Amino acid sequence: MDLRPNEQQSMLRDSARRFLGEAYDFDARRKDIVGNPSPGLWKVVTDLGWPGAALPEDAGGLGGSVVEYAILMEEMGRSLYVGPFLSTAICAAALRSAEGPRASELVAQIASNGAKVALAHGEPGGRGFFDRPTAVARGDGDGYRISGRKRLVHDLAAADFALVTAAIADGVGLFLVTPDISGLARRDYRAIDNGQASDLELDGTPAELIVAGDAAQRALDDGFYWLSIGLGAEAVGIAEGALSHTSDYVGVRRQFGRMLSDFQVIQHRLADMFVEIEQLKSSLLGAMSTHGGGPLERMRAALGLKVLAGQVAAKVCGDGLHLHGGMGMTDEMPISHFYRRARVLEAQYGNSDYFLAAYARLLD
Amino acid sequence: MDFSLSPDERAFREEVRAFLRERLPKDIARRHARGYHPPKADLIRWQVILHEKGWSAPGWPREWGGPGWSAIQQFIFEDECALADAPLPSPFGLKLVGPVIYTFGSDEQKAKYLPKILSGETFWCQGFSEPGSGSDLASLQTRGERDGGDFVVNGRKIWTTEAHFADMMFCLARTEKSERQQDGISFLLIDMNDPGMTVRPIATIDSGHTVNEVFIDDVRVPGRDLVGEPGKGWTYAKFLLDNERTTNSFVHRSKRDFRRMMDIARAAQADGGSVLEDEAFRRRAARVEIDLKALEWAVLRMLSGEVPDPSASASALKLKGSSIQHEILDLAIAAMGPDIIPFYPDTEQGPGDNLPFWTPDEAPGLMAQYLYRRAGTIYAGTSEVQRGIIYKQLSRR
Repeated sequence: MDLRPNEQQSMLRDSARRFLGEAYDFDARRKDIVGNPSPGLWKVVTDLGWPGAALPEDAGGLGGSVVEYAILMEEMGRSLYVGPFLSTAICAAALRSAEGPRASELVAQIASNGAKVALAHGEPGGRGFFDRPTAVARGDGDGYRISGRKRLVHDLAAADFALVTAAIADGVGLFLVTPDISGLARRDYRAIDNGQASDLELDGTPAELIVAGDAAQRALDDGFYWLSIGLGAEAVGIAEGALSHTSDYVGVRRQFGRMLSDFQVIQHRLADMFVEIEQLKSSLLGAMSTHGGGPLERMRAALGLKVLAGQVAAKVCGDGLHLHGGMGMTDEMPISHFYRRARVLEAQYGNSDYFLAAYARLLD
Repeated sequence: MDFSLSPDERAFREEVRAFLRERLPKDIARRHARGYHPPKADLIRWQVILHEKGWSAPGWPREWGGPGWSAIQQFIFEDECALADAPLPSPFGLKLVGPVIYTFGSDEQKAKYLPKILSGETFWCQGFSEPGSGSDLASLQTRGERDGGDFVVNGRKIWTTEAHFADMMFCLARTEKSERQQDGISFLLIDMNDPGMTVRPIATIDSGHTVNEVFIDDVRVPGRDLVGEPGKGWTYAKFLLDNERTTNSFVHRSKRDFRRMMDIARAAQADGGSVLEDEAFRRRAARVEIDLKALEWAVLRMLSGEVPDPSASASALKLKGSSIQHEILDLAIAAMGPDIIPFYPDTEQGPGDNLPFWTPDEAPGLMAQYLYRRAGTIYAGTSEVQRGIIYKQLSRR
């Protein structure tokens, strides 16, 4: 056991931090998030090989592991990256699990061609990732047609294709759908963290089956594992970023003739933020350690991490927001963006209560 | 990064497990599982068995009679011991003063004291806290006046765990004049049998006897029992406290306590089902387990040297570890319901009072432990002191 990153992993972290710090600093980000995310950043991200960092070399990836993926997500969190990286990574994990020639082809497109993929899984009235889809797929010649509704499809506007879940005869199926195909009503909107999401009405929309039945369920579970690692790592970056901005702020803001950071009540609050981040980082390591483990062990670790990620990010960013005083309420202060991203992260794919209930069901 | 135990480490875990199955006396394990503070006889019996195997001082290098284990091996050993309900050996000799002696002590001190710490022949206590010096330890007032080559020590120590059965005390006393209150303190080894040493028990919240007040009156400490240089005691005390960065996470014990809490909740009946089937209880327990698992990885991170700021991370471990410990015991007594109200005496350790007519098997010891563990957020640096340390490190970034 050695929990230190190896030399390549450290280099990846350094270069990601440097690149995002320069090309995607707070001002650059503010310009980027006005309107649609710029395709320019995705091109550079693709040139750097990030979408394939954790994908196998024979698919055109860099052959890294869940560790490389987490390093990138953490740095993206620190820079409040907005874009289709996470959605694509979740879909890549599901596709890898699905196997088969078509799925492998799609993984290769992600790894080497910068394909962006959105997961259309959640539905109106749904609470989270483990809800069973009510959208229905029916066979139609060689292909399928899906009817139903999908909600909060992150990053669909920028995506090259979508993976859509739907009920079929033997359980659940995972289908490939092209976003601009006919038979699809779509409403794109922005989320409070400036991310992009879409709602979909599918009405006999043509779809290609990728995987079905138990294998599809396993693919979704794999997708959830990568979702949790991704959001867990992003939450570490978000929380560390928020703590750093807050420490800086209370170190310059004077009230009552003293620096805010001279008050013990402020110091202890910063210390508590640090303690929560340490817990989250450790939970992330624990979840990564189960990557090659059994499905139950992995599911427990992923559920625990998602609970902590949401709660710690929201708590630390909330404390940071509070310690910024009135200034924290403004759009021009980074902390207000950290807080909004943390709130979305906590609710994304199901909130902490939802995943804690799932964890509690597995308790023994 | 490599998350898995090596084949050697896995084999080591099996070896430890087999040893505990064979050699840990059942009565000692049962008493320890109940949550009472282990009596001295249990501590000695268990340490003699460990010593025969060469395992009595997991953290010590081979040179001084330890097994020379890696940090991960020590982690595995302590984990297995906790799961098997082995009592934690008294830490004062093995974990605290032992490393100070082999790092800073004279050859004579090493030869005289280390072997008897290993064998369990000599028990130690820690003479640090004083009535006026708790969190602000460096303000201590105990004095050691020089008299020839000796020190004549006078003062009062408090919260001295196991002083009533210790043979030796390692003691901080002010021996030199100094400007900074951290300077001028010496680290002295004192014989508890000296007629000037008076131990007075302190009755504590758990109705047990663990801590004491120690009065030191004109106790002559020979110069050969000064550790290292005079006036440098604060440095050695800090080394001693820093040496055990992960101990105060209480992680192994809390893992064991969590299992026990789950057993209690499974057995306790409420509304026709078990307490563990209650949705609200399950969620509370789930949330604590998530934190407990994270805490375990936090300890492993520390042992791997993966934390950029070990001092802040050690304080974080203590803050989280002590609060998780409280939460687990809170769950355990929540599961017990009104059965926590009676006082259940430790009948194995003396006549005690009458037990109630109805005494659930899990009840004796649980509440005593619950009450005693309230000290977790107080000793070895209160939670507020830990937050102060963390902020100090953060502000240096």
